[in-house]
Amino acid sequence: MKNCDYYRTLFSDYIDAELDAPALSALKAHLDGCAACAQSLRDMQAVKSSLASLPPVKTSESFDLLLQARLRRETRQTAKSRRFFPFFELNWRTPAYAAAALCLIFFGSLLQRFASSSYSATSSDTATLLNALRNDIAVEPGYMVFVELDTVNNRYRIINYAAIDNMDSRKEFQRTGDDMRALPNLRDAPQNEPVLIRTSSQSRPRVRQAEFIF
Amino acid sequence: MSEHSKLQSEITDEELIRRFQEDDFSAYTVIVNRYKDQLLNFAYRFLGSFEEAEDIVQETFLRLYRNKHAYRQIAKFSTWIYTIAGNLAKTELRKRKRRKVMSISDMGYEDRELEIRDEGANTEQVANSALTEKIIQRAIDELPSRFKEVIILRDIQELSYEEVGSILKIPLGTVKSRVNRARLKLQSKLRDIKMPSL
Ligand SMILES: [Zn+2]
Repeated sequence: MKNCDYYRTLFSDYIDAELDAPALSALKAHLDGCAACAQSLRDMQAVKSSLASLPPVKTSESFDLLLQARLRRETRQTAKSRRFFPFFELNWRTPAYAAAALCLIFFGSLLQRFASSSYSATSSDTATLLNALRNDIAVEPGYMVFVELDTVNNRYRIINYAAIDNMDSRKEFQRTGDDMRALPNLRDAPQNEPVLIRTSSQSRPRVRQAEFIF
Repeated sequence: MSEHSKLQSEITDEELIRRFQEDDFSAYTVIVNRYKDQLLNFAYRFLGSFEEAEDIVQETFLRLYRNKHAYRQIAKFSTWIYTIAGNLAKTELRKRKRRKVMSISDMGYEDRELEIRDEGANTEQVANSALTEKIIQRAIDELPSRFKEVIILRDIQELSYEEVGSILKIPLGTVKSRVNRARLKLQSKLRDIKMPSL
């Protein structure tokens, strides 16, 4: 006589309709006489369907931007002979995405080498961001900073930052409520400090990224 | 444009990676667009953190970029890329355990809730489904990695047992018994909680 533990090993195959006929009829016979197993099987079915109906997540707006930034750095390091890297010719997304891409701020050699169509920041913009970060840690050149610009409330928020060559150093930055006017034009930034502007995020859909064409 | 749509929908993964191996960068971007959300879902459920999951997917695509020639046509591309993402996710989890810095704010729920709220469903429904999701994710977080990975691939991503076996490089019989045990563990974790959708 098989016990309940044995029959429970068959539940998955039963749910997935993978039991052969003899095993199926043995399990059904057991379920008829065992309320606990019958309940457990119903629970498993419910769990399975709950898992299948979990809402899928989507990559954030900044995902492609960040991947591009990293690949650009990668190419710069590993393929210096390659003179041309065709990122900005690719249609990765919609015009809204293109607008977001324009908000990508690159400085120094990165800018000159790869990001000919991106916009740069003023030194005061960058100083504002770096000052905000220095309250948290000492930021060396070569950091990437994600900033969320909220045109509705006229505020910017530093979301996170990381050393561009070490994403393990990524840190969340909690301060909110800074006045966006502290970042007037985002032009003519100092060298060697890549700053990435994140114009919107999934959690703030009301932020209108299209307004950030400088 | 029609060339572009054709590229997006009709060309197999294996053909795309072959083109990318021949330095066709546009094939790489198609692969990225084809897989980023799938891999993100896997990593997000595995790690319970949206930010960490995005980093894992980024790193997966960087490795694809760097090591495109490591792929051999004998394997299915989807299996190969999932294996990379899965290994990175497991490494991340081990690192996190070492750091022992798991806090509620790391879990990424706040963002998810806000996002759900914007979908226009009625408030109670949304609150319920967000709660359900939170509870289920918490239960998944508590599973050991070997159970977590099989149940995410099988029941959330709905891959076949064969695909799960190839990704994790374990025999079919092991996949099946592990899925069964994972489901039993999960249901026992969820049993005493009143689940809005159960
Ligand atoms: Zn029984």
